[in-house]
Amino acid sequence: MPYATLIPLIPLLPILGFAFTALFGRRLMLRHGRTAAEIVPVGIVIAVWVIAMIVVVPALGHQDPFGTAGLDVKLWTWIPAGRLSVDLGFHVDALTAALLIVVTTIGMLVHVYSIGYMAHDKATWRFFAYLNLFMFSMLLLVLANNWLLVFAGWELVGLSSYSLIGFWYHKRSAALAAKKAFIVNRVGDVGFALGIMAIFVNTGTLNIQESLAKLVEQGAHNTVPLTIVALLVFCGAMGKSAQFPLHVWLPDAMEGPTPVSALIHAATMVNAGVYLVARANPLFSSAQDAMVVVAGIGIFTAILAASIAFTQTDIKRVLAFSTLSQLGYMFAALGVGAYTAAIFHLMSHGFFKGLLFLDSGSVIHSVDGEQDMNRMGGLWKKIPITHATMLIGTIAIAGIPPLAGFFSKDEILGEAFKAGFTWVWLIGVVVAVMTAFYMWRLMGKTFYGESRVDPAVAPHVHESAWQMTLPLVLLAIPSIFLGMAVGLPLGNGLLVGWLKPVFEQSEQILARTPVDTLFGLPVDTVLIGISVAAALAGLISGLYLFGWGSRKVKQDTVDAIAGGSGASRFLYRGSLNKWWFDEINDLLFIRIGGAVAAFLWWFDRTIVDGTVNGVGTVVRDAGGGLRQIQTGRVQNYALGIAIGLIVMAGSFLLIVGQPR
Amino acid sequence: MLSALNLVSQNLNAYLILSGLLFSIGAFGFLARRNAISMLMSIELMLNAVNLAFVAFGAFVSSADPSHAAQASDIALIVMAAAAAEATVGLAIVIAIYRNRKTPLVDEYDAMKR
Amino acid sequence: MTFSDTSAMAPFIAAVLVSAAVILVDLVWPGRKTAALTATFVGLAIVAALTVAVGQSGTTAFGGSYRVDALTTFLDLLFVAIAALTAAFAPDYLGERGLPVAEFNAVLVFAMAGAMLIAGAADLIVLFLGLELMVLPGYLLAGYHKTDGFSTEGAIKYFLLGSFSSAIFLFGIAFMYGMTGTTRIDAVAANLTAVVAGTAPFSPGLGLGLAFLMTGVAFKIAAVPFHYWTPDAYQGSPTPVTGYLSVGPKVGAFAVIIRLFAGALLPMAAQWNIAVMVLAALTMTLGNLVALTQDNVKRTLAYSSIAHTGYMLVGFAAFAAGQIQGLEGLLYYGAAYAFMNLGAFAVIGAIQRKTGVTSNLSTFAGLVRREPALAWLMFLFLLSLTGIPPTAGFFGKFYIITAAVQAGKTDAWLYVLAVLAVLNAAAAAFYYLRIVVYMFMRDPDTETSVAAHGRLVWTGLAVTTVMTIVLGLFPGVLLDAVATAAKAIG
Repeated sequence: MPYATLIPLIPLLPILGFAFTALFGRRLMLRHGRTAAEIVPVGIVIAVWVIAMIVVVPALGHQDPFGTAGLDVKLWTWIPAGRLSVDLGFHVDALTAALLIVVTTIGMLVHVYSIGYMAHDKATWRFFAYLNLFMFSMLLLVLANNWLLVFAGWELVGLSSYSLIGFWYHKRSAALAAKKAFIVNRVGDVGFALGIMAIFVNTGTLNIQESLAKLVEQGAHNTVPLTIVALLVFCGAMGKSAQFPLHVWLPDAMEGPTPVSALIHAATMVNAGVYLVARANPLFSSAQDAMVVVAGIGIFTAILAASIAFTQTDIKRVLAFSTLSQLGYMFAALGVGAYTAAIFHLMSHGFFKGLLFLDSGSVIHSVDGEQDMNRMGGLWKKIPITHATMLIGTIAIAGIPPLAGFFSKDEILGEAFKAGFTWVWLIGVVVAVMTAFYMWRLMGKTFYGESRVDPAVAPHVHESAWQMTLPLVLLAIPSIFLGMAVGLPLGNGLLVGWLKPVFEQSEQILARTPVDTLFGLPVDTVLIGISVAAALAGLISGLYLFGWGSRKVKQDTVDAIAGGSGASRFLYRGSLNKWWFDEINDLLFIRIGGAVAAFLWWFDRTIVDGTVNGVGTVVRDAGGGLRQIQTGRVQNYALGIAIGLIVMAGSFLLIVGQPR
Repeated sequence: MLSALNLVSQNLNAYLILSGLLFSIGAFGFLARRNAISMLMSIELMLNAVNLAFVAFGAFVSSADPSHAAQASDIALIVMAAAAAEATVGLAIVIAIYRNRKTPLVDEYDAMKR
Repeated sequence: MTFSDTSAMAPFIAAVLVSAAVILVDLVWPGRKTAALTATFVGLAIVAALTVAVGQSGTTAFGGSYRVDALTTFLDLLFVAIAALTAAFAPDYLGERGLPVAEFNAVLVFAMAGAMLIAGAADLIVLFLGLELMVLPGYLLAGYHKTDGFSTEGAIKYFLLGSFSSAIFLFGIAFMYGMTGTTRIDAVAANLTAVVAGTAPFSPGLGLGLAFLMTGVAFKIAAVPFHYWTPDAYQGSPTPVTGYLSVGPKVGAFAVIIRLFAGALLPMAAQWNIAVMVLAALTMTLGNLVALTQDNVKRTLAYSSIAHTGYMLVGFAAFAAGQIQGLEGLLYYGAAYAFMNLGAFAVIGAIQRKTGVTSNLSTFAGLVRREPALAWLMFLFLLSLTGIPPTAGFFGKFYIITAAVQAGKTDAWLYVLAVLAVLNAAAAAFYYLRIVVYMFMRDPDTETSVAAHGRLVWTGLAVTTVMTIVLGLFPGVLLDAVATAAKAIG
């Protein structure tokens, strides 16, 4: 089949799956059992994966008909009219292909995993319907060839994420978390919407490629409008990818079922922001002030989130903060102009973080829904597959060679250093130490030492079903080998070749002169040495404190730090309370924002009414003999109209009466 | 000999001021009276003020073109018809609510949630 | 009256005759719903057919006081669609409460005839007559449930304030007549052009006239701060009527604005556009923020309809600043809003089919389990009202806001207005979402039995659903019509 037919199928199938499951899922499940309701959505996602792979291979290799510029598939003309002509269609180039790999692969594995994970839920059909809707939205976002379609996908992923976070809406915390995610995302969306407007005003087109070309042209003369556009677009990216200060929704989003956390809040949706900035790379490269902001916010989010991950006890929250931190890395990479490294990290992180989340789900499943790591421990022998795969994930994220995380993270740090962003590099190295440490803390508390599992649950701890362990094993493979496969030789691997055409223009604009040596040694060697040393340092201190095998946690040392005095105590408290961001937001938005709305409501009905009442009283008293007059509500409204009329007449007399 | 016509002011502004006064009295009545029927009557007063304005404008502004004067009185007739229709509808509604609430006083119609 | 007069006005005359015919049919077969409904729908189909036929001829009638152009045709067809959908949604609700269907339809078609008169008005007095003919039946519809205290209370408030504003509006017309010596719309415009150019004397009466006219129409479209009647009238009215009131008279009043401000008063746009912009900003913002605090769905949608008025005013302000796209956007938004809002109210009406069911939020708890189809449809309409792509509501907003941004090049305040519109659209999500949350994520308080819904309701819902989706996915189907209609003015 020609690609022009295959590509539209990729988003089309999931939306059909959603419609089918939403309409018939419940009936199928009640009459023919769970499998009947699951077969269509899961089958469809597998089919999508197959189609995506058929498309991805030639797209990455720049073969015909993709070439280096990518393939445009026009669906129909959305707005035919003159100046505002907008074509709806898809654009597939190497960047799209890279994202397609992550989204469809992890999407498929999560669907399979969910069969096992949701086996006891009453409304599985609904869960799968939402998952399909999400797949549709995400694929739409990635494939779109114009900003409006991106925005459509953008809004729809938010919506499906909302329904999935709040899937267990009987839990009040889940409903609240869903709402929070939606509200915070909405803030980012406003920025993005304004950004799209600004792009349209500046270029007169909404096609991504065309508008970027025009923006770069304008950037040569005046970068101020471009900086504004770039910052507005980044505002949207901050919301979806949970960057400071819009990061608060992601940890709470863990209230959703774990497969959702793995798919949406670790591997795909949160990457949308990274994708957006990478897609708009010529724009950002032409507006370097904006890039510094991106890098700064990215690296700050990285260290902020890592510091919070130190003390969390909920296994999924640790992973959530770790996700924030890794996303921060990606934005730091984007900000320093290392676009390829950012996409590399996006891919490898997608796999190993997806794996870690699914592992955590398997752990939670095995201990009967417990998420507190203080009530785990010593699980490694009882759930060996989960343990082994999670260990792989941990080593990968810690950045120990030769696993995937090492290659991508090292590339980010290396590029940052070579681009002259020494501060980004330095903070990045510190974060690398922290990452290795808190990840081992998670491993130690969960799997090693003595068991702290609830005695009632302990005898039933068991490995999960094959639908759950199979995806774990499958995800472990890219977590180990992805880096070696596409990252070697360092700095010039396969991925660099694939993505070169996408980022070529930016490289020309940025025109960086590479630094070659440091302390007389090749710069890469020195930097790799430092990175590996940092990762090992974090890992070893984690090992020392939280043990391995049956070694116990050194609780007294931990307590000493937590209960210590002065700075360490403050840091511990700050980390534990997530630096009080929720409280600050609550005050700023919920309290004050709510008060404003309530005030307006009160204003509308009391002050306006009241003023009007007051005026009514004046009228009445002034009337002297007309004391029996009273004003009812209708009169208040009428008086409001009359006052409005008088104001309007006054202003018109002023405006119209002005000499011209 | 004083012709009857001379008693009529030749100044447009005089009519407009009268019309404006009538309109204001109507509006004040609408704001001040609590009886729905009185409010209805106030609206009629406002409409009549408008009619006066129409006729006065017709007589003065377009004296050069006599067809316009005729037009002004046509307009006045149309407005009267519209006012009658409005009064009919209004009375029907007042009767309906009187049956429900047993009062013509509008300030007692406040069952709706604020 | 010549033949060409009658032929140009044929749709309007037909509409009046249809209304009379419905009453006659009811006299012949008293209380037979089917007969009255058949008469209504056949009649409306005839009116629509005549509109299309006449629309191609492009003629004037009665010495130029009535003119058929592309805008008239577009608006007439929209009014017919609104009336037909309302007539489809109402019988279930009315029947359950023992209210006669035939009279309802007759009054509704009268109101439609009034709106059609506005759409073709080429004379200020015809405009006024059309407005009165549209709103007088509206008062009756609001109080249609005459034994219900809320309905009559809403009606009397609506009536008293509406008449008050009509008098103000008429006074404005009197001033315009006095200042320009004519009531013909094109002649008024010509005279005003002379005034603006400085070749004709200028008088403060013009300023007063503008203020009275603006206040009058601002009331009719429920723009802040002239919106007070809206929540009470909307909450009190029988639900199908609320749906109609939030759409029919609103689009009709916008037709008045277009004929009056874009037709007669356009030469003075520079003077009045600032007022439009202030009204737009106030209307969007206050409507949305106050809607956030409501816990009755009808009242929420009443305030949200105020907010939608604000968006449409943004389009009009963009037009007044020289962007014809703004007027196109306004017309498109009017159509999109008509379908999605009527759909949403149809769902509320269907849920309230049984007497005594309130429109409080709690009524919607767990709706997806009781009536999944209605819940999903409501979800779609709310998405569209929020402006989530790819729905009609999204495209409408997009079109209007882009127009405002384009117009920003001539008048920088429109940039501000565009940003404000985006912010408002974002804030609006919350109160719409709250309804969705109740439908999908709450368990019902009490187990209420599911009422069956008539075929007409489902047909009407199908139409509104299809239009909501099609206008979002393929806006091209309407854009040509909208562009031709806008050209008739600009």
